[in-house]
Amino acid sequence: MVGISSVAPAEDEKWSIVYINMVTLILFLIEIAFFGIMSALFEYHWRNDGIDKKTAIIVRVWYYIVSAICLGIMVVAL
Amino acid sequence: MIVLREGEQKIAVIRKHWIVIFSNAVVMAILAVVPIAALLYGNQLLGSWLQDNGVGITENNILFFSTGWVLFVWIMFVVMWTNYYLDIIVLTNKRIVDIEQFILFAKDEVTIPLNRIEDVKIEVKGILPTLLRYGNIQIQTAGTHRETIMNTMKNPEAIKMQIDALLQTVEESSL
Repeated sequence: MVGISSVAPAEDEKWSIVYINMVTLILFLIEIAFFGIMSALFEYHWRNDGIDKKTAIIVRVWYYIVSAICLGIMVVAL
Repeated sequence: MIVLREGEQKIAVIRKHWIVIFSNAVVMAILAVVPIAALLYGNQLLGSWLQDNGVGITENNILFFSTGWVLFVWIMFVVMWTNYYLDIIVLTNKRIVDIEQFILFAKDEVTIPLNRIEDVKIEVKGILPTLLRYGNIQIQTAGTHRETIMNTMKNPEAIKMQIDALLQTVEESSL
């Protein structure tokens, strides 16, 4: 996440890195919030709209595994 | 799903053909991959220009944005799948219930009593629908909702036969 450089970055570049890191952090928080809201909506539908148990389990497993992988990569890349 | 009335039996629950969700999946896969490819290619082209102008976008940043986009597209696909799965037709011995899910928290439910059905028409147009056996079913009724169309249903001929059998049973019981 934080790279150690033997050459100090220029002032402009420092601000650019700070700005980009702020943007990525904000985007990450937005993505987490979006994921949380959508997961709640999905759970409501999967529990209350007559989806059979087996299908609900399968879709939950796929949804949370893929989402976890994406979120994990985003955390590592942050 | 639906609440069965007294003496009512559920005969079948029918969903749309898999081609619906498959075509959505292909579109979402393209939507996921194309911006990432454009981002990578753009970074290759503009990478040194950006560095020279003090914009320090790293590979980690590109990985972050790409994965964030993929997650967004994945969630949208799950929305589409949920809508596809909740789009159903329920055949009972007394009525046909067509539940059409548009988006999350927006659905349309049409109940067609079997004794109000005047005509059932199926439409299979094109090479792909013929080969994969999917098409539209049109039900005409005597009620206020005169025509109900169910699109992209799998095996519409078999569904029509089931409805015809149910209509015959209703006719025989009324004699």
